[in-house]
Amino acid sequence: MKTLTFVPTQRSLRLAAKYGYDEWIVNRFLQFVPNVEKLMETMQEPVQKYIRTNTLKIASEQLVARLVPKGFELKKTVLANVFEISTTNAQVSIGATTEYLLGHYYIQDITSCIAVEVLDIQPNQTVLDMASAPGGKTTFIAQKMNNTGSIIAMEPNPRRTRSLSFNIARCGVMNTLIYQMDATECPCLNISFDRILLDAPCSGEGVMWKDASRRTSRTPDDVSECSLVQKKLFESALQVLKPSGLILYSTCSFAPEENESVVNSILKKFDVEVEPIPFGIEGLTRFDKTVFDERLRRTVRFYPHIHNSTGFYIAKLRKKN
Amino acid sequence: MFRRANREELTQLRRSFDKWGIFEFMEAQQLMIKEDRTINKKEVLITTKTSKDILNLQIFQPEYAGLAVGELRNKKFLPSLSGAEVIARHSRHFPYVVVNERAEGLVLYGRDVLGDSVLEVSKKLGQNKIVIILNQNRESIGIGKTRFSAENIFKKDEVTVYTFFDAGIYLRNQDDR
Repeated sequence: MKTLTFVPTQRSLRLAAKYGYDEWIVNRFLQFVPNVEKLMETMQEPVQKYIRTNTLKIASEQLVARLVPKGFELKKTVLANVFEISTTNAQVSIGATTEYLLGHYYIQDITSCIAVEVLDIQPNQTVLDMASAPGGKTTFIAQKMNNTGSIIAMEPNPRRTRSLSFNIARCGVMNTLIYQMDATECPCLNISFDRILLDAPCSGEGVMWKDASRRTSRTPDDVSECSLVQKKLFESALQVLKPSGLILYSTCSFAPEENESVVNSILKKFDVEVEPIPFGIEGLTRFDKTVFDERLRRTVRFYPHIHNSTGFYIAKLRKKN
Repeated sequence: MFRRANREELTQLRRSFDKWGIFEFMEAQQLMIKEDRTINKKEVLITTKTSKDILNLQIFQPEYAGLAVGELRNKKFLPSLSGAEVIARHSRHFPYVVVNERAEGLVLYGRDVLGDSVLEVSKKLGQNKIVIILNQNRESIGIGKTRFSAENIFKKDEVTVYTFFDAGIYLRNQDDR
């Protein structure tokens, strides 16, 4: 699907100028994001941080008991072991405490944690993590498996592979094999997987809150290119997924071309079913004149102004027998 | 390449594991060796049965596998930071120094340990010995080498333990999170 752009309007021009975005991005948001101005206001504010307890090393109660005296405030979230964090009285940053260095927790957005949570990972399974660096989701998967079974983590970039290996060591993960390779080549390993996480490389619209440079550094072509790569990765993944196995597709993009459109093309081509996800708001079933499969309502979107998280999209599919 | 430890290596490792007090723990683990003959390096790692089976069957070798707990060097096992953590968690007798909170922060920036900050040491600790540096929660924060034996290790205003590796490396070497 070619990236759709729309004729500039007074509103899109005004919002783009006011908040420092390229007009084409804002104009697209106006087509499908609920309450766009609120979204843009939220993305002017500091980003909400979350941490996930690494239960391979410490229990959440113990972690809270160690971080609170250091001046951190931790609030419970919809997920056990994931906390909203504020650092009003802390002397050091949340990424520089002894507990962080010892791998007692991982700084990770709640949407990334939800992606792993809904994949229904069980101990002793074989799991593929297709774009794994820097390792937030990989280490959470290992935690869900209690360091049993096997995770095949793929990452083509050598620098990011190294970063992934550091996080795996820091978190005490034993069950992972890191392959420095393009995940579209995963069928050449001849391994079948119970679960696959495809947190696909994307245009990163959803992380504009963290990285304001993305508000003006992307083009419609970037979205189209990402969409092509995502479809290739998805198709490769389905070749190595066991029958009845689950695949979770996610991006940190708002773009329908990278989300519903990708999943829609997979639904047309493969015998898979979309499974419901008990978080977020339902996925789009149309974008401009394009109508998607009704089952895409079961996929979910996350928005900063609604969910206090980065922008995110998740689809959970089960391969039929 | 990743491979199983041979009989000779297993004997050497078991002897070292016994000295570090982790013989029983390591016997229950799936042990592998990552050998790089170009630099004569043998890394020791622990992994799961499923990962070990995949490694043994695969033609394609991964870049990293399991948890690298140390190196086999000159027939002896030298723990890595992850190995030191395994030892601190599972061993009852191993060479260590416990440091105060201020020194903990300094060690995590790669600084050496001053005698004033040492709170406790293991029994019969000798000079020039590899030690695990523990914080007051008895968690491994680094690996060092003693400059003095136990009786002189508390010397004021003198570095008494050199820090070789510290957990701060996870922050200093991190490209992105």
